[in-house]
Amino acid sequence: MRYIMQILLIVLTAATFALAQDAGNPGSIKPPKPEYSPYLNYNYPDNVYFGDTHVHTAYSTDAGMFGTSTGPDEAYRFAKGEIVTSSTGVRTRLLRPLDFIVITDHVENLGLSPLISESNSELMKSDWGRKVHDLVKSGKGDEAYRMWGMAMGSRKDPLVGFEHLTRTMWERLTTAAEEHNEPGKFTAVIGYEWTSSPGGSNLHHNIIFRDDKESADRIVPFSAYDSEDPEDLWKWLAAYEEKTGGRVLSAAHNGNLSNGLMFDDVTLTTRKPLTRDYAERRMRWEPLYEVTQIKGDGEAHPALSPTDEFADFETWDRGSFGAAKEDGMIQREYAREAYKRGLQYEEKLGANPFKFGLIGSSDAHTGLASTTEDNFFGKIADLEPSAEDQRFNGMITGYLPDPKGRDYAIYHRQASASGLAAVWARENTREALWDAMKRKEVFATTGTRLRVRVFGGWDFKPEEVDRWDFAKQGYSRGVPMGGDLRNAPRGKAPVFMIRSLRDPDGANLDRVQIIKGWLDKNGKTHEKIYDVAVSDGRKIGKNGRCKKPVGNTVNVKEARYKNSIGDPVLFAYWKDPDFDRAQRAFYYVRVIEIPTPRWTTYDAKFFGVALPKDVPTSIQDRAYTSPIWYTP
Amino acid sequence: MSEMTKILKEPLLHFLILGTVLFAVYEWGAGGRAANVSQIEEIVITEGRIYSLSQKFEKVWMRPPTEQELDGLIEGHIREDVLYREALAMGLDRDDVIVRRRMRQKMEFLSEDLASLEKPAEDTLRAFLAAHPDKFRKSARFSFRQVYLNANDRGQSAETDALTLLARLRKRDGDAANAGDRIMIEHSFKNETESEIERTLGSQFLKSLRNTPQGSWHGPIMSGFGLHLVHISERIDGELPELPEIRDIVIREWSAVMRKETNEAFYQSLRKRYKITVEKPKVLSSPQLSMTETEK
Repeated sequence: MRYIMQILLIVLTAATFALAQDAGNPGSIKPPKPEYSPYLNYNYPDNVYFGDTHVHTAYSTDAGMFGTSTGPDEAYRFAKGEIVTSSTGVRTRLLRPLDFIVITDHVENLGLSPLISESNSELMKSDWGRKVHDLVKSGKGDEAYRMWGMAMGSRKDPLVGFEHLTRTMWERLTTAAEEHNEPGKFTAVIGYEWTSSPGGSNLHHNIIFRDDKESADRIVPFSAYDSEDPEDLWKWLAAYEEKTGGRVLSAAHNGNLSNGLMFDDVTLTTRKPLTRDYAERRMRWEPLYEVTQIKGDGEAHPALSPTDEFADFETWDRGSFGAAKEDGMIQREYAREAYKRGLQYEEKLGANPFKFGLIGSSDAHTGLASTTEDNFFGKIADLEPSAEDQRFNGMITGYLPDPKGRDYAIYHRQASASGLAAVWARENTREALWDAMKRKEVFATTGTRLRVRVFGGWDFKPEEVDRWDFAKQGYSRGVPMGGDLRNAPRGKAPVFMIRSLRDPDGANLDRVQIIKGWLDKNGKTHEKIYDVAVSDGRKIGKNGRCKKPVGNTVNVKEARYKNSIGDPVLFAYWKDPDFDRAQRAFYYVRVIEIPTPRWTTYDAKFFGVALPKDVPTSIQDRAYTSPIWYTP
Repeated sequence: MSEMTKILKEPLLHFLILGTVLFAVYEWGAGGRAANVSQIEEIVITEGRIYSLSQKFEKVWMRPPTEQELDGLIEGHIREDVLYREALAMGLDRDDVIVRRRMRQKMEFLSEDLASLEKPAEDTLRAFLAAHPDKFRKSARFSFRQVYLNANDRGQSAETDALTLLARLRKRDGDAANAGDRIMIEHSFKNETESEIERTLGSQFLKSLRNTPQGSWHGPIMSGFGLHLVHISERIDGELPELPEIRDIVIREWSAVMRKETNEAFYQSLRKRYKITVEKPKVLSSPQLSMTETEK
C-alpha cells in the first residue's frame, strides 16, 4: 500500500512539473516535498469551454456607422443564450449559451456611433465630431463614414485632443463586462481590437486581458493611430503589465488578408531580417493566432498543400483590403506554412517566431456571436438574414480600387459561418481561461462545439486511451496541445493519445488526423497528413491515409442532413512511424465532421432564393488543435 | 476618487441623466409651442404608405405581413416620424450651439441632485426580484450516473443491448462505471446544473433526463452520441436566491428594464403631442390602392 502511494505521489509530482513546463518556465521549479493527501496536486484542466474571442458591437465604428445597433449589453445577453433582436429586427437565439466571450471593439474612435446618437456634449466640442454628428443626424451617414475612413486610412486621429472620449467609452465597455461576468458560469473577458492595416493589409490583433475593470481602466487602449507596428504594440503590452501588475496577450487574425505581412520574413517598419529577440518577443505577446473566422479559414491553402484534399476550406485568397494578391504572398499567410517556416527560424535563430496556439472566433460586426451554419447572422448588420440581394452579393473586400486595376472582390456569400475558441481549463473564470490561452492549451473550431483532446509522450500504451485516468496519465507522462516534447529518448518515437467527441447537438465525425511538419537535415521543410481514426469501419492504408470519403447525406433542397454516417466518438492512438530524433517537428490534430448544409443552403431554403453558384452547398466543419512541438 | 465622480461614472446614471436631459431639451425645444398646447401637429398614415410598408415586408419575408405585423410596421413608422419631426424642431439638422449650451446648463443643474439617483432602493430591488422569479432562479441540479452505448458501433442491436444491460444493472450495478462503451464523458455527475448537463450531453439528453424517474437505473435515453442508461440519485429544484446573494445581477436586470421603460415613457410623452390618424384599408392588397399619399 505504501509503495503504491509513493508511486502515486511521484506521478502527481510529475504532473505538476508538466504543467509548470507548459507555463513556460521549464526547469526552474523544484519538485515539492511529498505530502499526505494525494489530491493536493490534482489540478489539471478537466473541462473544455467554448467561446468567441472576437465580437464587435455598435461601439466599433465600422459596425455602428453601418447600422449595428446592438451594444455590449445585447452582445453579452446573446452569448448567454437569451433571445435578442438583431440590428435589422430579426429575433435570434443560440441553441446553447457560450461559456465566455471577449467583446473586441475596434479601439480607433471607440464608440463613435453611440456618441453620435446620444449627441454627446464632449464629442460636439470637436469640430470634426460635430461635423460627423450633423451628417449622421441629417441622414448622410455614408458621408460621415467616408470621413472617418479617410482619417483611418491616413492614420490621423480625427479626434486628437479628445482621448478622454476613448477613455469614457472604454470604461463603459469594461463596466458592461463587469456586470455580465459571472465566474463559474459565464465569463466576460475584457478586450479590444487593435486595427493595424498598413496599406490595407490586415495585421489586426485582438488584445485579451486577464484582469478586471480596475486594472483595465488604468490605461487608454493602444490604437493603430499610435502605431501600426506590432513591435510597438508589444512594447505597450509590456508597459501595461508593468504599470498594473496585470497580464495581457494578443492574437492576430486573417493572415489571408495580409498580403504576405502576417508571417513575414522581415520586420514591418525597419524591413530587417527576424532576430532571436524578435522571435522571443513575438511569442511572449502573441501566443495565439485566430486561424478561422467569418473572413475565411487560414489553416492551410490548397496551393501550398496540394495533396491535402481538405485544405481548400472557406478559402479567401484574392487580396487584402487594399490590393489584389501577388505571387509569393500566400506562403506568408497560412498557419501550417508558418509552423513549417518557424522550425527553420528556430534552427537558425534559436527561437521560433511562429510557435503559436490556434483559436477560432467569429469577428461578427453584429454583436451576435452566431457561428453555426443554421443560425448565421453575417458579417455586418446590413447582411443579416434576409431575402435581399446583398445577403449573398454584398461586397466585403475589394471595394477599394486595386493599384493595378485588378478585381479582387470577395462577396458575402463567401463568408464563413465560423468559428469558436475552445479552451481546456479547470474552471470558467477570467484567470483560468486566460492562463490556458497563454499556455496554448486551446483549439479552434469552425463554429461547432466538437471536442478534441490530445496528449503527446514517449511511452503511452494503446489501451490507455480508453482508461478512466486518460487525462491524468496524459499530463503526468506527456504534454497536452500547445506543449513541447524535447530530446527524444533513444529508440523512442512520439506517441499520441487522442479523444474526440462530436458536438452533442451537431454532426457526426468523419475522421481524426495528425498533421506533421518537420525540418530535414538539409534545412528543407515537409508536411504529411496521417489519418489516425476514421468512421464507419473504413480502413487506413499503409501510407497512413484513408482516401475513401465518408459520404454525404445533405439534402440541398430541404437543407437537411442525417447522422446516419460518421461516428459520434473517435479515439486514436498513434506512434509516428517516420520519426527522426535529430529533426525538429510539430504535430497538430485536425478533426473533420461529416458534410452538413452550408449557411447559404439554409438561407436558400428558408427565403426561397436561388443558391449562389460559386460556393459549395455543403461543407465539413472541423477543429484544429494547437500543435505539440518536438525539439531535439 | 470622490464620491461624486464615482457616481458620475455609473452608466445607469448616464442613461438616466441622458433621458432627463432629452426631456429637458424637448421642453425647451418645443418652448414656443408649449405655450400653445392646442397647436397639435398631425401625422396621417395613408393607405399608400401602408401598402408600401407591406410591400417592403413582403420583399424580405416572401409573404404578406399578418395583421399584427402590419400594426407593428405602422407603429414603427409613426415612431420614426415623430422622432424625426422632433429632431427637426430641436434644430439637430442645423447649427445647434444653443442646444449644447442648454444641455450643459441642464447637466449642471441636474448634477446638484444626483445623490438620490445613486442606487435603486432595497425595496425596489426586492419587488423586482419577486416579480421576475424566472430571471433569477438557480438552475435545477442533478446527481446521476450514466452508462453510454455507441449506437453507431452496435447498429441494430443497440436497443436490445441497452435493455439487457439495464436489467443487469438493476440487479447489480457494482461495475456500472466500467460498463458500456467508451466516451469522453464522465460516468458520474454530482450536483450538476442543468446548463452544465446540456453543455456536456446536449439538449436532447437534458430533456429526457428531466422526465426520468429517480432512484434506479432507467433508459435508454438518447443523446447526440447514442444511448444512455441513467441512474438519478438526487434532483434539486432550482431555488430562488435571496436578494443579498445576487444583488448585482438584480441591479443589472432592473437597470436594463428601466432603460427600456424610460425610453418608452420619453417617446410616449412626445407622441402625445400628435393627433395620429391611420387610414387602414379593409382589404390590404387591394389593387385600387392609391400610390400617392398626402402627409401633412
